[in-house]
Amino acid sequence: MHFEHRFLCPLVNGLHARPASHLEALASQSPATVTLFNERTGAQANAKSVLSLVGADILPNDPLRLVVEGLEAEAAFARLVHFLDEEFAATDTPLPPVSISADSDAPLPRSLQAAAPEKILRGCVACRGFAEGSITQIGALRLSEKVASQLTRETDGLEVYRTAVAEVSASFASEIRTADGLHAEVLKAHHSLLGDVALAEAVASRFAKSGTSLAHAIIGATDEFANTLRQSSSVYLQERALDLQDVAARLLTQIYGPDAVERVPRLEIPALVIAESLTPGQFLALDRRFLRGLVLQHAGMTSHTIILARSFGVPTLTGVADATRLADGVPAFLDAQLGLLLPHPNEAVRRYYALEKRRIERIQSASRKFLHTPGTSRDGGRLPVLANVSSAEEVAAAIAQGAEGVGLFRTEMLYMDRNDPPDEEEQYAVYAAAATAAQGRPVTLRTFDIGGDKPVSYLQLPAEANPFLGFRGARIYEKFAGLLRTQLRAIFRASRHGSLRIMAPMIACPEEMRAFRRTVNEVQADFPGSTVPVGMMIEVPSVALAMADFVEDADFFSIGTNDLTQYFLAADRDNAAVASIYSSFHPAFLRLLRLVVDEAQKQDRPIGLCGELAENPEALPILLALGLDSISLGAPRILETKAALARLDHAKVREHFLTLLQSRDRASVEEKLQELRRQTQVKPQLDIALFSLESTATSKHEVIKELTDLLAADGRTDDSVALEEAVWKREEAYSTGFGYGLAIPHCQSDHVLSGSIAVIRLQNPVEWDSLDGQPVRIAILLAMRSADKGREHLRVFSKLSRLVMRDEFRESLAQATDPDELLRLLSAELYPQPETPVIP
Amino acid sequence: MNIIAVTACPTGIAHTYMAAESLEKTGRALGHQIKVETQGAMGIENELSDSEIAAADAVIFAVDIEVENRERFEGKKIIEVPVKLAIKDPKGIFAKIG
Repeated sequence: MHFEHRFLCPLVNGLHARPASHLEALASQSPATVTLFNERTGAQANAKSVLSLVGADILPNDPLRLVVEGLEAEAAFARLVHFLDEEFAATDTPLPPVSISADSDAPLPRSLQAAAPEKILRGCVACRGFAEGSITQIGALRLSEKVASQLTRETDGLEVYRTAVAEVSASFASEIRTADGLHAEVLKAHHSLLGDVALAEAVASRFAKSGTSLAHAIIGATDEFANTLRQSSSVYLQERALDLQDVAARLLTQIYGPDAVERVPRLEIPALVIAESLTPGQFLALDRRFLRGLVLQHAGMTSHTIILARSFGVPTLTGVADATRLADGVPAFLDAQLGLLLPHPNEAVRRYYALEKRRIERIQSASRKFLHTPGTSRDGGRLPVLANVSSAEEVAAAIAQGAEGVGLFRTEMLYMDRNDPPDEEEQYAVYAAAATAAQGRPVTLRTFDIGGDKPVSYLQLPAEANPFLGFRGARIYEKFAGLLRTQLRAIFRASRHGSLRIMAPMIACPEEMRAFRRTVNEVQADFPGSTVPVGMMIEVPSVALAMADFVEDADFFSIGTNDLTQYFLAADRDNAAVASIYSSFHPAFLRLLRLVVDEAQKQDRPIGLCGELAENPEALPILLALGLDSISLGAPRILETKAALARLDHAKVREHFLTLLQSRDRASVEEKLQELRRQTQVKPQLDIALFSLESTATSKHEVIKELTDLLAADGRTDDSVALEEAVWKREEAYSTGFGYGLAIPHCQSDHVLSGSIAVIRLQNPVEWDSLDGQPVRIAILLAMRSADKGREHLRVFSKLSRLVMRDEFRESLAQATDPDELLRLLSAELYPQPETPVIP
Repeated sequence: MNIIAVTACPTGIAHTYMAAESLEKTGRALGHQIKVETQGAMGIENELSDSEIAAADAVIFAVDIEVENRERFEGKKIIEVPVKLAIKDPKGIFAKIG
């Protein structure tokens, strides 16, 4: 039987991936053959292939003809026509705009402009960083010379192809089982492309018609679909072109051996790899010892290659026009902070990047100080700083950022955005990877915390009037006992890879914890010899008044401040109307915190704190004073928190905490905290980290960049480019070189975080356009925080300005033998009272 | 002579004070009695009183911006120069006073 239906394409964006996949899903339900003809172009598509449907280039209002033939054609036809008439149009929602465009208007730093680079190509930063290397171009998929020269036309080509597809498919399936989260996602996408019927058909028809080898049929078919995908207006589809090339490469390798495909050039010197596009497989094949940076023409932020590049920390730009036209071997700088590629750098550009390198090294060495040190206050009070994570990939990154372990692994993220729960194998792989990455440091896995603000469709939890007070967290474990046991089994299995801990969410009463512990113990019976501590979150205020009743079942506690605060104050944290009530700084809440910490200590149970309060710099003195055993927060804030901790005095904050507890309201708590912060967090205006006494800078531009870089490296500005610009804006009024070989550049800016004095003494004087026309040997930067206007401590700047007018002061500046001596000299002049600033 | 001065620059961080220092140092070296009010980021400092203004033989404004409370100086002989001149050539300014 043969059924036909004619209609106009009702989709406002034409037939792109999403509507195509709806049509494909429906067509694939029937054994009938379903073909869609585009009468405008003459193209035809197999409706059981998304690739084929998208490839038919169907635009809005194109005349289309649906043909259904073969087995069960009539039933399929009825369903399809109903779908096309009633639902098809609604499957089309506006596409996201093509998002790749370089920000070519952003101003460049003055010092880089002054270096007058020969050529600047701009792109989007996909992975931040900075690299230098030789331009190395990579083309599209091609056969290696060796294989190409020996090719003959196979008579049994299609049989070979089918076998290869089956073999690659099987190996994908087994790789998916052992791969971790991200890699598995990539493999799954590849696996489904491998099975696409249109690809198989295109290979077959090319092989039949062209009379050439199977290899060329595969490459031809791949190129055809890849080109179609690349021309699609959907960024998502453009990126699937890479995946398709990767799949074809796997097939060719399967058929012709490991040398069949020229994947990537061998890197032998530091390289900036440039490609139209790069498949994840090609990326992984690049020798990362020499891969310094990556420039991709076509790759969105969501492409798998970009995600891999990020996880390996390879500086990457995308959307750089004309980069593929650069010749191989050209030396270049890749600035994946400002989004620039600079080929053929001149001497000044090299000097600029030498300064950049110094700045990055200074920043790294300043924070490295805290990388391997445990969280400790100035007077030796220990407060381990751990990380909150949601995936195994984040663990290694968190450790690299100084985390002393993982205080909270939100395992529920594994359960979300999917159609079925993760099985034991998948979870085992994730937890084992997390345990291994933590290298013996503790990793606390919070069992799935679903419900409330974290719904999961396949559990079909009922809609509730009051989800935060409803069926969530540990409360759903009885109903989903199988899910919990699966997770616990995966954790016990993974526990031999490191130091894992189990933590239950949302416990309100002792019987819940008793039941949880019972389940854990039952599962544990299958894993003799494994010891995994079991603890619980303190999120519900009732726990605070019954701590002793939990200790039998809980080996440790962790305070979740977000929920504890909202339940304690009965104020929804997402409701702006009660935002003035939702705060962890109410004296009553501080007293609650003290109660639970004291009780835990009385019961000899470790107690930590995770949640937003740990991320608030103003709260740090409270957390230190409480006597917590650890805090856990987002990885990017760990080094900063350790540094802030090192400035605090344990004995002093404990005393201070007592006055906070006696406060009558939140406002007075906050006021006292701010005062404490002012006393402890503000950096002294002078610091030897801000002196560079043997600078080799060769121009005013370089000197000003180096001065602002000194501030950046010491964490005194949040935007060194803006700071550099502010200093130059002031220079435009008239030069700050006032004679005597001295210049006193200065600025007042919101980008200054802490008022600072930086000093550079030059090995060779530089032109400064000074009032007396003489070059400058010493430059002193006065950087003032806008908010400090009128404040008493600004007097240091005015004092210094007066001092530089005195001959003997200038003489001693020039004579100081090292940074320490300069610091003593300046301190004595600027802070004549016995109380000198704190010198770290 | 009894000379008073006001210094003020746009950012109020450096040149206001450099100019003040320069005028004080040079004025004293030339044998004058001198007091300089600074109008900078710290606000008005070393403020000139009405009687000091009344007693002054000459007024120097080394400023790049409007002098605050300028009306205090009404009727006085004022020499107004850019801030940087007070740093570069203070003697030249005093020479103008004669």
